Amino acid sequence: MKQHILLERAKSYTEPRDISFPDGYKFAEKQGYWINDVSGEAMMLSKDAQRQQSKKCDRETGEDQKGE
Amino acid sequence: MNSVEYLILSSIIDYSTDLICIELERRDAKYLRLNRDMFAEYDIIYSLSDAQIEININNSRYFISQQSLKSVFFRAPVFFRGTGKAYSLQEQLKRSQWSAFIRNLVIFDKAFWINHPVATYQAENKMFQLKIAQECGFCVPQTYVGNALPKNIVPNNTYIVKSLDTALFYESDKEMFTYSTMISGQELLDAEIKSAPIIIQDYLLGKKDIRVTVVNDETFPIAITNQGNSIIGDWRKHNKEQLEYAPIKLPPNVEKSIMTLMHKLKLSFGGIDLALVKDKYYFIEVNPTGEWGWLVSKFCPIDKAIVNCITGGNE
Repeated sequence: MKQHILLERAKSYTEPRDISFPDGYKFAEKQGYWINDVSGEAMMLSKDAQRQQSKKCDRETGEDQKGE
Repeated sequence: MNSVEYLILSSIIDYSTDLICIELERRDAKYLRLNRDMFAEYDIIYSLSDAQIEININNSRYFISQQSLKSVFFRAPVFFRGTGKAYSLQEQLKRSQWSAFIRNLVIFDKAFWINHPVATYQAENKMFQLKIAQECGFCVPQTYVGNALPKNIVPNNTYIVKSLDTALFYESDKEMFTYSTMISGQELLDAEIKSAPIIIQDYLLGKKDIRVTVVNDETFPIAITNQGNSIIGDWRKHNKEQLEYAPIKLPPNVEKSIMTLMHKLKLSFGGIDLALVKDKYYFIEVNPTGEWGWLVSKFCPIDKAIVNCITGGNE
């Protein structure tokens, strides 16, 4: 039986087993953002800033927080 | 006692939310970020009679009450989508019950929500948003939705096929995602669509992709190109390092249509995708929880605009 077009055209990839947290940083609950383990600098203001893109960088939730 | 005025609901790896918290801290605001994937780590009690939530995080106590809470930045899904992924019983329990708890935060009905879950729930329906966009004066590509084809499909023409809802599937340890797909009329005529509905749209030849992030009454329109050229198909399939994002100015009538759309959908935040063909702006979709982190720059201070919206004023 022919597959539905949305399944036929789906991009398939191996799902990452665990969500990887940024190396050398920890989540500071009080501040509500990731900081450098040593210096306390905010990750998003550092050279390691991770800019989220739409859809494919958000595998766990589908685009834009739409998943489970 | 930490009385929360601004509640930020997100997830721990949502780094864009970091930018919001950094700015709130800089403004000395009384905020609390709760990560929905970390709820089981917090101690949470809601008291109906006190109309208050008490949260204990690493021995710090926070109180969220109707009186204190001014706004909520809601970076969380409103649909509970069972995508077929095999979770343990414990995980299924956590996901379903915490999702419900988060949805129930609408008890804080005096607070300003960005966006309110009910508005997001409604606006995420693609047929609905296309209908509203048309009413707001936008051009919309010829669109059909269903599990049967219209009679006027031309074999040599190109069409776009989209899912009606996020198409994220799981099989074994593989995850599958379906982007908007270009397809010929002949392929469409030969395709299996009976078992589930799809969206079919006319392909806009020579389109230029535009992403407009809207925060309250501010718009941040960005043209997306690939090495200076317009992009064929879904721009999200391309390597983001190769794409250019240039701030542009929209014509006043398009700005007006955007504001009317946001107002009708009761959204104070949205990521709107437009396509420019010659001098015509087509509405493609609005994402009420759209991503914006990668667009932030000194020319495009979306993070500061969101914080202005959360705190109800400019700096």
